[in-house]
Amino acid sequence: MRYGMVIDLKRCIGCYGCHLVCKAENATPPGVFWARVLKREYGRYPNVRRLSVPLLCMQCQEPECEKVCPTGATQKRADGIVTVDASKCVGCRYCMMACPYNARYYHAKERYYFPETGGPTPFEAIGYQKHPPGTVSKCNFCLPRVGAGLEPACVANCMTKARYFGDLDDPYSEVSRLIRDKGGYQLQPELGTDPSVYYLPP
Amino acid sequence: MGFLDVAVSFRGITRGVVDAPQVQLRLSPDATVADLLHSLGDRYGPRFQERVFAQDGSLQSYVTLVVNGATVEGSDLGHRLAAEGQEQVEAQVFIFSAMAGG
Amino acid sequence: MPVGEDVWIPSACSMCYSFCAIKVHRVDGRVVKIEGNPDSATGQGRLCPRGVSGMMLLYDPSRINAPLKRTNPEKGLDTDPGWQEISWEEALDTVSERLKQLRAEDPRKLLAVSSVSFRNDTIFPRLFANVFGSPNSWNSGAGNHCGNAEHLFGALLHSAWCKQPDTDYCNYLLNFGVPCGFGAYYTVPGMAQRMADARERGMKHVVIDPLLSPTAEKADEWVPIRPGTDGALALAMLNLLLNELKVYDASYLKRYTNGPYLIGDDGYYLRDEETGKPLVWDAGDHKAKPYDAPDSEEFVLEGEFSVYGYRGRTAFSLLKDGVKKYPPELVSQITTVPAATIYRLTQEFADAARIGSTITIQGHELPYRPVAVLYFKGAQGHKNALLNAMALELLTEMVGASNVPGGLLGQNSRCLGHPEMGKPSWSPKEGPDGLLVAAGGWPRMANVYPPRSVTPSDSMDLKGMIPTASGSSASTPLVMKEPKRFHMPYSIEFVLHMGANFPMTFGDPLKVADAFQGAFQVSSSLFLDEATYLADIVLPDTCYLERLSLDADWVASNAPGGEWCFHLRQPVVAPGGGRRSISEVILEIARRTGMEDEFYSLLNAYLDLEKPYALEAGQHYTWEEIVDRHYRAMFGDERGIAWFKKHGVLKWPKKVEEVYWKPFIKARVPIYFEWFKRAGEQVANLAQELGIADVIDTASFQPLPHWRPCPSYEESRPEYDLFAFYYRVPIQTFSGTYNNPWLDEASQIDPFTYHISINTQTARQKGIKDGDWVQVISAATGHSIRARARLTEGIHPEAMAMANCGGHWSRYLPLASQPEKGACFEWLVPLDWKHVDIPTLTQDLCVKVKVSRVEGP
Repeated sequence: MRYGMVIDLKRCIGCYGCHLVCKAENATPPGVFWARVLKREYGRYPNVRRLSVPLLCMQCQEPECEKVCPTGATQKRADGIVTVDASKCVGCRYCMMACPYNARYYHAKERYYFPETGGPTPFEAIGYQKHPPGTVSKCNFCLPRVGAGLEPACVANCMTKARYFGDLDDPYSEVSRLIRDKGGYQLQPELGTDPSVYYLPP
Repeated sequence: MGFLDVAVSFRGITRGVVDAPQVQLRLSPDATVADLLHSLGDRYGPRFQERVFAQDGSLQSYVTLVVNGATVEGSDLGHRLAAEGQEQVEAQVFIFSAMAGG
Repeated sequence: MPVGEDVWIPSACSMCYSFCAIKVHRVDGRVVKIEGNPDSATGQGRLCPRGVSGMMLLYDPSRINAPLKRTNPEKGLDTDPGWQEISWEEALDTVSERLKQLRAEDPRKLLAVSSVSFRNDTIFPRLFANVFGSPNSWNSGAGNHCGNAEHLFGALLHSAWCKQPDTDYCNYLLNFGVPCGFGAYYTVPGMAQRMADARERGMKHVVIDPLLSPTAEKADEWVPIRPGTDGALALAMLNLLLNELKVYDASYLKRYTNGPYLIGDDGYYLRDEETGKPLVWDAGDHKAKPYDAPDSEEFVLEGEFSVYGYRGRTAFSLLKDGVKKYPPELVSQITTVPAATIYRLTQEFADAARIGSTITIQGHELPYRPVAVLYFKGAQGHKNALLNAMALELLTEMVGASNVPGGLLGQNSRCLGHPEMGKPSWSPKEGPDGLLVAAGGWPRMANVYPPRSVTPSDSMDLKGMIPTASGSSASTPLVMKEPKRFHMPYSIEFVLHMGANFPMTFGDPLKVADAFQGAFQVSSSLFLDEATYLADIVLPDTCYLERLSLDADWVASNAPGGEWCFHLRQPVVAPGGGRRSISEVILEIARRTGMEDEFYSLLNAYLDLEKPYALEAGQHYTWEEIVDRHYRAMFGDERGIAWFKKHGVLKWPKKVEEVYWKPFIKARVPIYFEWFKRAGEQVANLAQELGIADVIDTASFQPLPHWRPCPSYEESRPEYDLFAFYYRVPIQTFSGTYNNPWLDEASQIDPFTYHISINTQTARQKGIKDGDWVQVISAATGHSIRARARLTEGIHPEAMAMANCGGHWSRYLPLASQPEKGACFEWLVPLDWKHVDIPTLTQDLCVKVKVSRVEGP
């Protein structure tokens, strides 16, 4: 069993829906983005293209972050999902330097989205219990949802249905089939991190 | 040979066109919606006529006529106001202002 | 607060005007998540970035919680009103007393202002204005975004408010800059899925746009064009189609358009002496006959004939000859699109149309025309709105791709009702001269056909005078400023305002403020935004998560295909603070002003409430009771709001005769807009009579499309060398979402949303580097704005672009009013008659600007 995600760049419209639904699902504090979108431009006017690439933790099978974590806070689970145990994290941020995909965020101190009030909204009051200050966090494929039999929020909500979630070890799963049939590829495969997030060409 | 008494009330901006909240009309027993509106048109002149009728004489789609509590389809100018033997009806005329935008 | 509560509540979004179905997760009385409702056929469980961010609107501490009155008598765009909290009782007393007095003086002095983003709630204040006796209402927020001319042709050609490509079958979409399927336009998540499906299926998507927009980014081909010249490109393509390639759907044009109608030398139909009906030429009998003659052999589509001694040419022939004026080589100079590209696109479009082919769907053999042309604000928001839109529409009509499989579909032109109760139902029908009369939402809006009479307008929007005007009117603030000049026997003294931030969405803010600041303004608002700077009393409104709406759907909510799906917007949490829904407040005001019974009778008529659902005089109904009756009248007695609260949505499959209705409805559509010509003459005469001919330019009232450049093309000062325009992004809605900190964060990360996009080469010539602050001065208003520059290869070298409506200045929006939150495009847009397309009352957004590097904000 190895959970993995496929993002179809032909369907993706770079709308930041994943970025925002991740905020809503995981209540990440200001400045913390477990899901985000990068935009790059290629070519010269008028022969120019722009590519939007959604990013998240690649849930590497050879995770550099796990190797450098001095406390064992970062662990790779048997199902392939890389997790951070906030209670063990000391906030040294080695993992952030080690991650080649810039997928990790350090949350220094409690901050709120409406700083003028000096406190959290009712939404944040509940949500920020999951984000103790002084720790590093990242996407965990919405582990609580996956545990409940649901897809990660960015998959379930994607407006264009550009994201697929499933078992990469199962050759008959939709994700395995898409990778095989449509030329799915990993980002920076040369690093040997073996990400569990694959992309289909635009 | 009898009469049909029609109590017509005007609501909302329709009142701005007729300058009166209601009027009593006496029409023939088999009078239609068209008869009523033309009779009102004669009474209130071009200002009423221009608002209520399109250039081709059909009823403007934003004009609604309610007769005895039931809305009369705009295109049905030939609709009879009253059933056989009925001597009184109540009618309400509405003009809806432009609601569009977006 | 209920402890241990954990529920999901179905409702409808209102972060834009798509009104998607949502399910809201409430835990212990607090909203913790908003998801798309998977039961909804429209969004299928998906939401856009704004939709999932709704709790940051709900819990925004800048929301208003108590009624306020101004203490500073001086009004101005940026003058602090000095708000003081008052009780609801005092607020309602003040408002009701003033309204009573106003109604006794002259009810027309009331203006209801509202926004398209809350459409189903804004109907209520507008109906109130109507009952009150005022014809004045204005959808200001839609001003710079409204489709105006597009909606006019939506009514005339598609019996719909707007259009969508048939993503199930379309193979070639020529998209003139519409963010359809890209986070804006109508039915946002539904169309995003459908467009992605079409892309995957292999539909070629060509985007014609000065900007490599989020939409163009995903296109198969991006064709940059000089801003405002889309209509010219369409004319060249029409010319090539009709005169060089000779590709057009003759059988469609004969049967379903007025193409064969004979036009006299005066530009009007030649009519049958007996019946008055327009004549066509019967090739079998060699004589002219009324268009609906039963014994006709074959109508002639092209040619010149003699009837009653007059020369008659077919409408199609006139169009075909008329577009000869637009060879690709000439149009290339206007648009900067290479002539070779114009030839190629036209050829591709012609080939893809597969004229003559059919497809069988659910046992019906239907024409198969898998091509569509889509346009909206960008292409038509110009001085030449009517004529641009006409040229663009005719491309689809020429190949018969209108409301048939694969083509351009009116968004919900026809509904045959729920299989059990047969309601709701609407259907386009044949009207005078055999032409289409629109159904759906049109009849109770400003329907345009049969043409309205041309009369001195009694409303500020001038719609009484301009029978072609359908959308939001550019004239309202202009006439408000000088009512006497337009023979208005009154002026606006009371503004009942809801939601729309009109100083930031309708042209030159100073001029808008100038038109409004003399009136007593009552604003029902979520925030103390820029519009409330002009208010005298502010009422704290509920947001969509706190309110019950009159309904939660409109003609543009349902995707064109698939299933019908109707929703309910119900409160998910009790209104915070002292907030009250504007609808409930309006009912209360109707009571206090003694208008309750009149209001009920108007609601009965507008909402089709007949016995037993009709509201009865002498009764008092709660808002919930009124909404419940509306639902039961629409969907049957058992389907009141209690049913919807439980079930969330009501859906049923769409029929082929609804989605692809064209072959099932006899009505023809115009390709020659004869009545525009007559309307133009009538408007010109009336304008002459009223002494306003200097501002009512009637030159665009033409039956056939022509190219008329915008006034900004005449700008001769060389330093004003760029066209400025705005576009829409998926992470903001108009001006209304800029205080949402999640959307703000995404907008900061996005390279473009808060920046001004300039072509790399153009910027270099001006000494501007990426990230530099730039100042933009408008040639038309003289005002300037500042923002950081984003250098990109993805924009026409003669243009600069900015997203949505940033640049807030209200200090009560602490996040949105910070620097580097975009800029307000309206400072660049002139508010004057020279920049209004009279037939559609569209504001011309084409502005020339001077851009230079500056040190900072």
